[in-house]
Amino acid sequence: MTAEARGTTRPWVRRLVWAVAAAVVALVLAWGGAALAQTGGGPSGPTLEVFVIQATRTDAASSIDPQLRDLPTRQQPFDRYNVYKLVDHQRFALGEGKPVAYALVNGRTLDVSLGGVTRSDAGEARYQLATQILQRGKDAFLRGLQVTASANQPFYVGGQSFQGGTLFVELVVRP
Amino acid sequence: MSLSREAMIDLMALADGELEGADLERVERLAAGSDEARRVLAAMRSPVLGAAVAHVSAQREPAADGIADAVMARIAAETSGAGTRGEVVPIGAAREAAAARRGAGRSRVQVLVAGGFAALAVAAAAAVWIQSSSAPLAPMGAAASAGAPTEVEPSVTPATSQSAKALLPEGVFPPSGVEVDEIDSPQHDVHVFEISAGAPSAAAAAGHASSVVIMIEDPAGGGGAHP
Repeated sequence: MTAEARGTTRPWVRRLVWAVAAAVVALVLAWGGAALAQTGGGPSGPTLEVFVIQATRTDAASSIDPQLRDLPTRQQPFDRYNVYKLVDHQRFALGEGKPVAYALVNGRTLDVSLGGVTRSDAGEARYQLATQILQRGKDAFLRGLQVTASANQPFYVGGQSFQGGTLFVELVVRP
Repeated sequence: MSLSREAMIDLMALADGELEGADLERVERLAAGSDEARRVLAAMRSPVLGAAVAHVSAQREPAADGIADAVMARIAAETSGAGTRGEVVPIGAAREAAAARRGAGRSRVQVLVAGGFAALAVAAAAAVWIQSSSAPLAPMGAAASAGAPTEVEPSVTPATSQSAKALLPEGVFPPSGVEVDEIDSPQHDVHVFEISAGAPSAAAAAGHASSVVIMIEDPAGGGGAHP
């Protein structure tokens, strides 16, 4: 093949190689971003959802806030009450070294920090959370609670008295 | 001479070994099907012609790079004498013209294919990214909207804290769900309730807890944990 022939072939091959390389790089970047987002390591990261629920026992008709329809009201200890009201609902960014501080309606403070994220044998993300409920100048209501929770699996801290009822703080990690 | 200009150029390219693939087959067919083409091709490949060219070149062109022009000039002289309509062009110009024709066709295809690959790459990347970020996310710090309460059936299980499980031993909870590692509330009584996702009693007995309730007695609050 002459130099002229080579001169007409090389740019064609070069363009094809560049196009394929660009496609591969774009796909790798997109797939990497998707994987990070799915594992909670993306730009948004995991979040902590907090529901503050007031439960009371009354002689009136039973009722529940529509946003609490998933509350297991037939199971203990929720079956002690027949009126469930959503007092507050907040969502916080959750990250290691970034504790969440949230002022409860009764004057106490809820502190939650992410200790780490582990993987179960099935590859499921497990979030290690440390929770406190404190009140300045008084004994700690909850000095420390260490919980390991799967994503979207709520846990509850109940028992605080509030306006004739009992507060339940529901905490859920969203990936 | 009845060969066209394009045929002459193709024969020159064949003699120089520049043709490949379909072009090579086409010109070889041309040479095989025409006595004149065979003669021209043989003359172009002949060392005698090369010597003649060198002789003419030495007489007319002192520089060695004028050989091709000398040959073409001689052929032009012969064809003009025969009265044909063949036109003689310098071989360098003919090669450049042929390469330019081939290159123009190829460059359009190259641009189209490269553009197609780039468009595919962008589309694939966009599709993957959109798919990964399509999960809805509630706005941060969104306050609850108080909806109208709905009726629920009265509880069927008697309310009694005495039936609650105490702290569950380590390893009781399945890999998924919620596992309580430690509770520290020395000033209060603490009970841990296991919440199962399915049938309460059966699931709890099998250890399939999906959630827990940490119930802390709060007598100082006035109302306590019990209504």
